Amino acid sequence: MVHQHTVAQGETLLRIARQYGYKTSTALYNHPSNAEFKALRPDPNLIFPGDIIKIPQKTEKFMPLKTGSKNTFVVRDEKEYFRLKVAYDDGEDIAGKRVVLNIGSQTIDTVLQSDGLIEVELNNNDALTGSVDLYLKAGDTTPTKSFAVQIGNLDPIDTLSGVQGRCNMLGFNCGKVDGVMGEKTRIGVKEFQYQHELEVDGIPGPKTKAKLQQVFGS
Amino acid sequence: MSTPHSMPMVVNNTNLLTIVKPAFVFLYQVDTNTKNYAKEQLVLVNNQHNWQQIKPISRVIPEGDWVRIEFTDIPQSGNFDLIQDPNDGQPTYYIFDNVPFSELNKQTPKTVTMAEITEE
Repeated sequence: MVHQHTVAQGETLLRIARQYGYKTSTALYNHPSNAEFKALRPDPNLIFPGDIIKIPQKTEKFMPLKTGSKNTFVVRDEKEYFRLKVAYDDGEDIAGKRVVLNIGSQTIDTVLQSDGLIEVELNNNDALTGSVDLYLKAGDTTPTKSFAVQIGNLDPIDTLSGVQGRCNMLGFNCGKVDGVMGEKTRIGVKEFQYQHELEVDGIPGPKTKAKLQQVFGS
Repeated sequence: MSTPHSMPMVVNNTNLLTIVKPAFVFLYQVDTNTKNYAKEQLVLVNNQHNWQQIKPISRVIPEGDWVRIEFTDIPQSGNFDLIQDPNDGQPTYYIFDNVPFSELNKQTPKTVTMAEITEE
């Protein structure tokens, strides 16, 4: 019997897999019963509330073991990461700027290198919410900019909320990420289109979405 | 979807967070029937008169009769005036005056109409 799981906001494929006793997300994602889901969501890190994932029943495996010798079992495990790249819009070097990340139970206080990249291994049971504090001016004791983050909440590019989320991250303010096409979203999309020499109509059509996906990286 | 002021991010993939430096973008309609319109310039100046930035119209590419003018690296305190200078000996005009930094990007041609421009 195949059980079904309906994706809720903020869930990740690995955490869903763990709920059902699987160690890896690929156990679900690559299972033949999820071929339709895999076609719909070509990136397993970008799933959407309401997506249906089939949970295959776990089957017993019989392993031939030798008596009188050592038998080694390797358990495959998967980790989740939070990866952030911070950059200035005008290309100025971000090296040396202090960043404080609070993700779940972890606090990472670090200084950015030129590539602006930070990588954090997420704890299995931690909440996927937190904050990013940026100290962009030397000697600042309070953050120059602060953001609340919700990991696992970025929606696929084919959704309006996915467009809003990416635009906001890239500095084109679409306001609240709510999947509603309001005036702020229209202006944010227009600004993005203008900057990337697309037709400026405020409508996130296929060309705008493709460019947004390319610029953001996923 | 998320609550306001929070950033939805993706697990495992890289999230690109772009820091936008303080800027003010103003969409400005040029009267192309005016003989010397290409000489015009817009001046953003703070009330303390120790910072100003001049943007000549001729340096931006017109989109029809609209131009998009971007002022950058603006000090984030104090109030600002935006002045239209015909730069041909004619009087200058205030497009707006005494606007705090936080309100700058709310000053659009929708909220400041040409009829409201006052002579200096």
